[in-house]
Parts: sequence; structure tokens; C-alpha cells
Amino acid sequence: MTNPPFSRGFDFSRTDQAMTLEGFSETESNGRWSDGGIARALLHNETEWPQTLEIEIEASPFVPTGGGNQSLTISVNGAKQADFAFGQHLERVRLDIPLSLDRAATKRSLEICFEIDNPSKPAKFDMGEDFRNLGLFVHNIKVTGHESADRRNVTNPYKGLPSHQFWRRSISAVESFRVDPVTDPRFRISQNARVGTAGSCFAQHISRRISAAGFNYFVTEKGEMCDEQERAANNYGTFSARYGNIYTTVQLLQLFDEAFGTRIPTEAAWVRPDGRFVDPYRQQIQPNGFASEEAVLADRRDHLKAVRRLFEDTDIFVFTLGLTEAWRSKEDGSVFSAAPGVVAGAWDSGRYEFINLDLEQTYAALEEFLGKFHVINPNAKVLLTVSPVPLIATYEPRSVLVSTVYSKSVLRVAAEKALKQFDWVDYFPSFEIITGSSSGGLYYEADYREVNMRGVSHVMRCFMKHYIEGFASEPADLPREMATNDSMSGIICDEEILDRIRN
Amino acid sequence: MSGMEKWLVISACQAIGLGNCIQSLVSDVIVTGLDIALFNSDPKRFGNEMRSYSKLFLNPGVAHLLPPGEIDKIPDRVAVPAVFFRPYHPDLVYLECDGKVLRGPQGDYHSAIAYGCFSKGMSVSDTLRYFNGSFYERCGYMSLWIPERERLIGEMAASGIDIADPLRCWGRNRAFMHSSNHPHIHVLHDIARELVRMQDRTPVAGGIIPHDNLQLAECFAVYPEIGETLGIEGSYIFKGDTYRPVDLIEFVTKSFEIYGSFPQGSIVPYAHYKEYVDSVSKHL
Repeated sequence: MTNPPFSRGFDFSRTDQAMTLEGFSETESNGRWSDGGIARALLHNETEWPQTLEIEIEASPFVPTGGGNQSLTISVNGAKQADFAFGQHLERVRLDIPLSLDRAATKRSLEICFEIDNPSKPAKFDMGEDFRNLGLFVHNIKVTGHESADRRNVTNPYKGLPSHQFWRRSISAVESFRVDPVTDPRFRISQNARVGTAGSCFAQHISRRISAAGFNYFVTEKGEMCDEQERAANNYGTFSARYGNIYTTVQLLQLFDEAFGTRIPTEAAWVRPDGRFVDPYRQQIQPNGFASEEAVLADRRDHLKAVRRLFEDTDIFVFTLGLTEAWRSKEDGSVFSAAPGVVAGAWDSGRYEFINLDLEQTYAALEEFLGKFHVINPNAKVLLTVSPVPLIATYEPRSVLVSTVYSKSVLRVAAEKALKQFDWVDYFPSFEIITGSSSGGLYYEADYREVNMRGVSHVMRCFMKHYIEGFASEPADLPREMATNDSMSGIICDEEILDRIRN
Repeated sequence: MSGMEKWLVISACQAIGLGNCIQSLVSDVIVTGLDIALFNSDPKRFGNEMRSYSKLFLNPGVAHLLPPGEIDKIPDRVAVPAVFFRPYHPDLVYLECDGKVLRGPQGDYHSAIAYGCFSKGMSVSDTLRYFNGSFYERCGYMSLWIPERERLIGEMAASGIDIADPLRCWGRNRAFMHSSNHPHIHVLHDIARELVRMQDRTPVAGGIIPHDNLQLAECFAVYPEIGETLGIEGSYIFKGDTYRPVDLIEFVTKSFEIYGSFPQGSIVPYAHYKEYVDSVSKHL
């Protein structure tokens, strides 16, 4: 009895196909261009591939007049299958690759590699301002064969879903530094867009990288009166305004309300053991403290003005949710940046209380903030992230690790709820990049708390790739001269070196 | 031990490490690693021993350097390409003078940027300014991972060695190459395991991974900006013929001293690297 036919198509004009692409340009109306000397398509299948199959590739080559012929080598699963040569520009061709797979390979994704011999930039041939290195325009790929008897008629709701929805394809199948969980950004940030930041410590990394990359990191409280050293010491520019770390959504909401005059906190200044004064809502903003309560209030007035300007004028507001634990005034409900008595002030159980915000409290504050922010700045977008930095301490009588997971879980769900409720809010998964099992814990410093530069770099690679307009989604093309077709397997070290390593 | 089956590994600098790794995975075979230069230092002796081996793991890249007829003495042969992988060290090139590989402060390894700058008459301090991320990007140094990964997987696959899965893990924590042609020992160990399986044997599990003999040779720096894009921590510290760390300033300064001691124009890139070096130089 003949097994039933197997047929699976991959449409290169769509973004929802079960394939992972590298070296291809963005989707066009009827396919995609290869961009560079090598392009690769990883075709996924929920079940197994037939052992004997035929790969049909519908494509059109880039053969500009005066650019010479185009030739192409196709490899599947690392083994060369066929060479093709083309002489006619954009001629629609069908490339047939018959293939036999061993049993193990039927269970893996099919890896089709296109080595383009002569990729060229259209701009070089007066074909418009297109500086991509084009070689082959792939319309679609069809894999046909005969399904093995034991695998036929298998169907399920996951069939046809894109690769990023499958762990094996998008996480297991790539090197850990290339894991990229960002799939469908709701907006992109242009070079000139004003990007404001606030949140926990992790948001500082984003501020620094945005600024270093030459983007418009929007700072409304710059400390122009200080020299550079003083500015850094006094936390000017750490965030868009000098609010220090804003750990909880309640803190963010109360700052917004105070800045726009709908809230006046009861407590104005606290005294430190050294007699200096601090602002209770940003206690470590000025290491030397303030000389008097009046000085605290005067600086706070300037600060609130800067906060107002930030919320009114920013184009993008990046907020990193950090904690759910906080210390609150029983009198007016104000939340402080540190417990009374830690940096300044004095602990008084009659006046202050510990709170650990639950999901409803966390989201209520976030929702209210977002609603109010949107009223005063309706065109602004918000990008939410959750800090991957664990709690330094918990006041709950339990392990700090357990409290950390609770806190981060609440914050993550709150961000998800905001994402569902507001279409101008997006969620960026820096938390997942750092804490995901694919990172193996390697993105933390030796204290397992601080995120190291490798982790920050991974996060920022994904951020820049998906959110920054005009940022190349892949590294620059490899210049042709840099490509190696052979391995230099025959390189022999100097005799003296060989002597050293012969033991 | 006498009467045990014997296998031979012939390659270039990876021979000893690969031989040790294969040995660590089979208990009923004696495995010997032999680099091609040692073979050719006493071809008569090693030639006479060839027939005592039942299997030869041979790097095809050095096969032509063996005396004629030697390979045929061992009919059961397995091709094992050497691991050559540039993404961690894209600036590393080979130079030669009068047809001989030129030795510098990093042994056979030179910097394309340093050489290019020296050739254009620049000073050491001007040269150092080119060691930065944006220049590497312009040179294509950040774009090597995918094509090199494809090439290496394909090259091994052509010999029946599947390294697609292990390669994903090799660089998880740190670079898996000391230089473009010297892999870390765990890379050779994974390849050895695959080679043992290909002989229809089960690799011994839980044994010791042999020492990393290639660490005794020069180790080229993984520049921090390059390391950052590959998920590892880089530095501008080179390891020379001892463990004394050599920084970028010393490396470039000593490279210039050596280049300057030869007649002008007599140092040229190794043939395979000519276009590569030209490509970097045009950005200087």
C-alpha cells in the first residue's frame, strides 16, 4: 500500500510561517530577497518529514545588467545538494532538490542554506536607493513526499504556528546569545524620538545604552548648574528626571499626581543622623543631602517641574517595574523610596506600615497612571519591562528568593494586563532574556543579583533590533573578501609551537 | 596492553588533543595522536609503524603532506577536518616574509588592523584608535558567526560528523576557540565522541576530559566589542608563549618593532588572507 502524499508549503511573503530565516530581507508582497552572501531557512514541521522528499523552491535571481551572471549553491542540513546558474534577471525559476533523510533527520527541522555567489546592491546599478546585497528572491518553498504510515493523519491546533511559539525551534535550536523572544513590536523608535525612562535599577542600563547609541534620551532635569562630576554624583541624567529608582507602580502614580498638582504629600523632609535633610520620596538622590527643609522643598519644586515636562513631551516612556514591597505612610498613603529610619527619618509603627502590593493594587496604580498619562500626552507610547534584578531584602518572614518570585510574578502579570488593555503600551521581555533557562544564569554577576554586561548587551541587542527604526536587524553584510569557502584545515603551526603543545 | 587494537590520528596542531580525547572515550583501543610535522621529522620511523594501526583519523587538509603511499598503509580511514572558526578572532591573520610564516609577539598570529596600519605608515597610538566596535563593524568583524557556523557544520557533515547540536553549546560561557585554528579541548572532546559513535562504539561516559594542550600555544584576545555580540566577555589580553598577560599596547608595539625590522614591503599576508587584509585596510 502506498503511503499518502505529504506536502508542506512555506510562503516567503508571510511572516507567520513555520520557519526561521537568516540572511533574508523583510517580507515583500510575494516573497523575500536574500541579503548577503549566505541566507538560511530553517523549515519546521510538527510531525516528521518523509524520509524521501522533494524540495521545490520558486525563486527569481538578481542578475542586473553589467553585474555578471548569478550562481547559487544549495545545501540541506549542512550537505551540498546542487549548484544553479542564472543569466536572466528576475526570471521565475523552480529549483528542485531531491533528498533522502536518515531517520534522525526526519525529526529535525530542515536547514536549507543558499550560498549566493554574486550578491549585488541595486544602487550600484542605478536601480534605486537600495543598498541591500541581493541575490535570490524566494517566493515559496514546497516540501513534498510520502508520509510514513505511522505519522499520517496527525493534526493538532499547533500545526502551522510560527517558530517562536515552539521552544525547540526558537530556544533549543539557536545559540543562547542569539535567543530573541521579541516577536511583534507595537511601535518603533525613530532616531529623533524623545525617549524617557524611569523605574528600578535595571532601567538605568536602558538609559545608558540608548544614550550611548546616539538616540534622543530625553532628560528634563540635567543639572546644568553642576559640573560633569557633580552631575553624575547627584544622579542627574541617571533617569530622565532626578527621581531616583521608582520601584513600585504606586510610587510612579503618586509622582505623576504630585507633579500635576492633584496630590500634596504630608511629609516634606526627613533628617539624617548627620543632620542633613533628605527628600523622603527620593532619599538617595543627593549623597550629601540638603542643608535644610526649605532646600529640600525648593529642589522638589524644580524636580516636579521637570517631571511634568517629561510626561508632557516624551514620545516614548520606558518604565521598568521593579518591586511590590514598599513602606507607606498611614497618614496620607504616600509610599517612600526606602523605609523610614534606613537612610533618614525615624521608624514609628504608629505612622508607617509595610505593604506588599498584590496584583490588584499593583495594576490599579499602573492602570491609573497610564490613563492619566495618555490624557496629557495622547501620542506617547509606553514600553514596560520587568526588572530581572532580585530583591535585595524582603520584609516578609520568608526567603528572599520566594519573595522575589512573588514580586516579579505580580509585576509581570500587571504588565501583561496593561498590554492587553492599551494598544499604545508594549511589553519588552528583558526579564525573560536574563532569567530564561537558556541563559543558564550566566547573565548575573557572582552575587546572582546584579545583571552583568553580557546580559545587558543581549537585552539591548534585542531592543535595538526590534524597536529602533533604521537599525540593521542583522549584523552588517559580510564583505565578500571576508568569506571563507574552505576551512584552512591545512594550516600548520610553527615547529616551536607544535613542540610546546605535544604533550 | 599488547594485542590491543591501535588507532592513529594524523592532523596538524589538533592531532594530540583529538587523539587524547578519542583515547579518553575508548578503553579497549590504544590511540595515538601524531602531528604532520612530527611525522615528517622522521618519516622512516613513523612510516614503519603505520601498519600497526587498524584505523586512521586523518585531517584531509594535511593528507598531501604525508609521503606518498603512507596513507594507503591503513585502509580503514576516517576523514576529520580540523576545526577552524574565525568569529571570535576576526582580526587574526597570518603574514609571511620570503615565503615563510612570519612570527610576531603572538607567534604565527597577527592583527590585520595592526599590519594594515603599519603598512600605511601609521604610528602605534594612531593604530590603537582603530581597535573599537564601530571599526570592527565596518570591517565585517561582527558578521562572521552565521557564515562560519554554516561552513563548519557543513564541512564536518561532509565527513559524516554532526556538530550542529554541540556547537550551540560550545560558546555558552566563553569563547570556544583560543585562536581561529585552536579549539578548546571540550570542542575536540565532543567531536571525538561523535567519531567514536561513528565507529559503532559507545563512548565511555563519565571519564576525564584531557588537558587542553592548545592552551600552551599563543591565545589571541577576543576583543570585548566582538565578545559582547557573541554573548561572552572579551578582553584585550593576549597570551603569548608563557602565561604572562600581554595587553593591546604591548602587542601592537612589538608587532610594529618586528615589522620594522624587515625590509619595506617584504611582509605580505599569507595567500589565503590577502583579500581579507585588503578588505580591512581599505577602511583605514
